[in-house]
Amino acid sequence: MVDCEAIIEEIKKSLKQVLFLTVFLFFSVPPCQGQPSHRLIKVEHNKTDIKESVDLVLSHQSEYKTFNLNQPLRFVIDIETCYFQPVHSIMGIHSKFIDRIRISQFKKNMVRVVIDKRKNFQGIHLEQIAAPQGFKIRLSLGTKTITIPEKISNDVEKKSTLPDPLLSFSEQQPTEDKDDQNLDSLFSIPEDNILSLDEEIEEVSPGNRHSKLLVSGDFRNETAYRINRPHHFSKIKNILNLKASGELSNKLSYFVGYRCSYDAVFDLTKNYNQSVEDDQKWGADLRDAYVDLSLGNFDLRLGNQQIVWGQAVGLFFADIVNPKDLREYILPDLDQIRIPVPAVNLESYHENLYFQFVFIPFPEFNKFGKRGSEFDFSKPFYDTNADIISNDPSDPSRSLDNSEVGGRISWYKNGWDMALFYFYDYYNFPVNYRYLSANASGSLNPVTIIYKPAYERMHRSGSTFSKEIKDAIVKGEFIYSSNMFYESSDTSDMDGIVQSPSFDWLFGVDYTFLNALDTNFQIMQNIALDHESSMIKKKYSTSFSIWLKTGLFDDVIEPECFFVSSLNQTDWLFSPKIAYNFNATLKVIFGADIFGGSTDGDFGRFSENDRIYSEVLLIF
Amino acid sequence: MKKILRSVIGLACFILFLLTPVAAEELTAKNILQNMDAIRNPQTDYRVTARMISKKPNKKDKTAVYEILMKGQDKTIIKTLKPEMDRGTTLLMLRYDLWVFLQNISKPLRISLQQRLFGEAANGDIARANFSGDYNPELKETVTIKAKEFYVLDLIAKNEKVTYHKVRLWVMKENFYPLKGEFYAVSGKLLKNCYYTSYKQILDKMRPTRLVLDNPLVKGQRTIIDYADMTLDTFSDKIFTKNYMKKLKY
Repeated sequence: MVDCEAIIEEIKKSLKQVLFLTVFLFFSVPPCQGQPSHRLIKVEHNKTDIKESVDLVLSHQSEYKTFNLNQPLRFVIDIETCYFQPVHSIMGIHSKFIDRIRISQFKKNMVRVVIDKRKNFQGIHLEQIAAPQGFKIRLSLGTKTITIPEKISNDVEKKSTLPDPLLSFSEQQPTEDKDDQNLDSLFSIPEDNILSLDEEIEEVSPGNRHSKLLVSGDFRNETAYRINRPHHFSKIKNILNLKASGELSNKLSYFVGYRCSYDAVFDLTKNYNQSVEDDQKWGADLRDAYVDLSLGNFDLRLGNQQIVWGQAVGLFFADIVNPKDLREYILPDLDQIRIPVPAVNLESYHENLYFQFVFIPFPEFNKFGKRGSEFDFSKPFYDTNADIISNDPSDPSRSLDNSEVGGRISWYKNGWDMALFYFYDYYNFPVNYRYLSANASGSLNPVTIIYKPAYERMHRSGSTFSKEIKDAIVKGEFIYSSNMFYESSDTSDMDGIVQSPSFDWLFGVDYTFLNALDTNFQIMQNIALDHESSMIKKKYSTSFSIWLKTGLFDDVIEPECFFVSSLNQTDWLFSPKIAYNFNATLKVIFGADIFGGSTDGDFGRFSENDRIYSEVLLIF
Repeated sequence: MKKILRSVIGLACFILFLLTPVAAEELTAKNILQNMDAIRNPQTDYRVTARMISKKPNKKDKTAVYEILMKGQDKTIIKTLKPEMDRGTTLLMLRYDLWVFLQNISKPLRISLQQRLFGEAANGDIARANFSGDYNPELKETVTIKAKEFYVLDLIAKNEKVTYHKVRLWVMKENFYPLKGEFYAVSGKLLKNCYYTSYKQILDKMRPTRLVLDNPLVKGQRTIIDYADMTLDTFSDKIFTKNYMKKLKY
């Protein structure tokens, strides 16, 4: 009997515990357990002075569908994979737009919310809003703009409605939910009376993003005055750049640039000979003029173009593809110096990798000032007791045998921007072959030196890189030339030229001091790898450059200067300038170009050509 | 008894298991910041036009207009449309690396985040659209301002390349609207007050269409950035490369 009583007592205890656990579970476990985890927590009806809305507060973001029903008018929203604990609920609203809201667990996994509309109901806007509890579906009624996102509904009324002028103050209920425009008052944000941005967008984007024809351009006047003797104007040049571009389709677009120039210095002064005048008084050049074809990751550009490989500032270093117009040395803007060449330029993009293939059917070469021009490269380096005969360089024939070809691979990884390139071309500077012949006895000079410049083939390969390190941009360029041509001082040398492979390198650092002064420092060197004592050029030719720029008076005034110097010849070029940004379309620049140092250097040779200048640039 | 105890423990564990998802629903600072980012910008590829007006006391306003192309969180292109003098200048930002393409040199140049491009606004003010990618957030408190509840978040830069070392943000609890930000330097100096204003319905969400960057040291000196014409788009990856900069259409 004792055992039976003990057993009965044990059973009673167990039943009590089970009962306790049952009660505990009933109160502990959230109502959604065993049902979909997504819940419709509550439905809120909000009404402000100018708008009315219904918020469906959900525990999670849920898919939903909407549709309208007639007789009586109803707007229905079915929330999928959702549970509503009260199973069924009715909210009497009796507002201007709706009578009541009915919520029910329509299906096992679907909650249906039915809004009984009144006749005044004009439209509805739905949006999802992230909320602290989860997500809200906000149904805005009678708002200024009524838009139903396509993805939400297929058959919801798509009407626009204006704010209801009949919404009287008596109907407005004091509520915390103010109009969004009034949020500014929370932090006393200063008001600014600024015109609509939409008007500005219309103005800056004429036509649309795929316009068939956009025309733009600039006019510039460049006036320079020699500050060395003889003092006179060396340039009063007026340049008109015209550009037309457009997209013929999503894959095909074009660009045409044309430049016309007239230098009044040849009409107003008589300081230059006829051949210089013929060369520089008038100019008309087809600049960049190409079509772009885009096929997925492949782009093809055909036509006159600039192909830029270098990263150096103010100088052409690995920028080896395009020939240069050096009639004003390296003083104009770099894009005005580069001569666009007709080329086939095929590019391919693969994530961080980039491939480029370049084919130039007919080579083009640097342009130099004619004898007697301001920057005359034909001036002999040395005074010699000889008669000098200089011939113009002979261009290779325009045949495909003389075409140029090259390629570049670049990649970007972990902040490193790297590139390798190869180019088989004609070197853009003529090789100045020199021939000596003895003069007849009694002549003023014992010998005649005949220069017969010619263009030579060359294999060039190289690399570039850039990387940001501690707020500084570090960059470098390296070029190996298989067969560089150096002038020889050995009079017994047959043609006055000694060949040697060469290696050029450049390191540069960009840094902005105090968020105000942009700077660039570069050091560069040419190494004649098989140097011979007869070479005029030393084995190592080292140069450096400094570039500084800042903005004053809110960047209205922008002082800038560039200094480059050769350490071997200790010659240099110093180019300070000040740009005055008069307004959005007009800029005026005043500057100077000062050459100095040894006259046998690349810069010192123009030491008698110092100048001050002005530029007026008008954009249209 | 032992069996019953085991049952009790088992049931307790089961209850805890059931309760666990409910606890996970609580918002973390990171969630708040991500939700706020979703309010500021679409979390997908898009383009938007931005007008920047720099205001200084006793000086004429300076206006610039840019078209901004965003791909993911780390790829940005900024095309300068105005002033006309700078039209064609393009900035490419890949995470924290920048290149600028200038018309007068026709080649992309690598530049640093510090380089001056946008006057008073930092490069990051325009080019970086998501705080959650750049900052680690901490929920400091919840405050009520004029009957509105706000999360107050302190954001600490994930690395030294981020534009500001610390940001304090006021985010509306109800809808994750950012309303105000304070931007600090490493030294703790307050650099800018930023207000997110002019909320408008854009791409299915109410979004701030104006940023007011106030200089706390100079009264009346501020930069106003207005956004408009925001449209979703799909951009090819190649567009966001240094080598493509020369091909961008204006």
